[in-house]
Amino acid sequence: MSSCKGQLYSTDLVFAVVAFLVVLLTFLTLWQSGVTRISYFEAERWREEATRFAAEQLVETPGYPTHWEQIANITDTNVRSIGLAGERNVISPAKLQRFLSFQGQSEYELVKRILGVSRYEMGVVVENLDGDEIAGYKNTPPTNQSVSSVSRLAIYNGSIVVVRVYVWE
Amino acid sequence: MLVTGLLFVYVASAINDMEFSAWKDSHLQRYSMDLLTVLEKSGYLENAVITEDTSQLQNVIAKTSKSLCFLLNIKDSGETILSLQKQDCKITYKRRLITRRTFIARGDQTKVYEAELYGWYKEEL
Repeated sequence: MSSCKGQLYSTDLVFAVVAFLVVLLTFLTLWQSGVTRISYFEAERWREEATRFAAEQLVETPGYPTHWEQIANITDTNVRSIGLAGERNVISPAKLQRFLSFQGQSEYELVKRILGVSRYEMGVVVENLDGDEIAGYKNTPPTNQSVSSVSRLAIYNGSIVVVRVYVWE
Repeated sequence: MLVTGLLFVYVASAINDMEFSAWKDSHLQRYSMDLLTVLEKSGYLENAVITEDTSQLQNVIAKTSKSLCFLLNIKDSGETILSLQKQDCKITYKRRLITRRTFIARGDQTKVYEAELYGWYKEEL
């Protein structure tokens, strides 16, 4: 008389459970790693978008109002946008000088708000094509964390320059 | 169950290998547009056509971002009259981006020319 006892502990079942656990553990490990990676990409993408937008404002637009550099006390309400361009990709020396004069902490925070990078720290460097700095605004980016950087080409005082915008957490 | 598990592993693995190319393309596009704009506004494109000397253009293109490669053609009525390429860049790439800009040169006669810029990433060689 045959019996069904013992089938629960058959080699097939043990193999199936082991295989299942291996697949499950691999999946969970990869999934966790994927979630971490996506979160990192997401944060990086937002920062890069903000950097790109700030660089675009500075290099392509004159700002709004266009004579913002002549306004004595700049606030969120009387200046909606800060741009350095007299015309697209041509840096106005007057606008750049005014931009560089925003050295106080409150002015720095205001500039960040207007450029749309208030969540981050930022710096702007104007260099010639050989990499020599012509002008620099605020902080130097840290070396120990991710920094988004956008380089744009422009003309300043008749020479081709690189406007580099740095943004970091 | 095993098939489903393997499918999950494949999806998770694909997420892990994911990269975003849109940002790189967008950066290359803006940089290419900037390059043509500054070459035109600085008068370098016009000079090159009038003097048939591309050294100014070559000098600027040589100093562009190290990770980028460029090939610049200047065309008159669709025919390439001047062509230059960034050094140390081979014309082999997975993807390339083409940017065009028309400009006026006032030589013996005022004519409209077209600057055509091919851009690609060096690491894709």
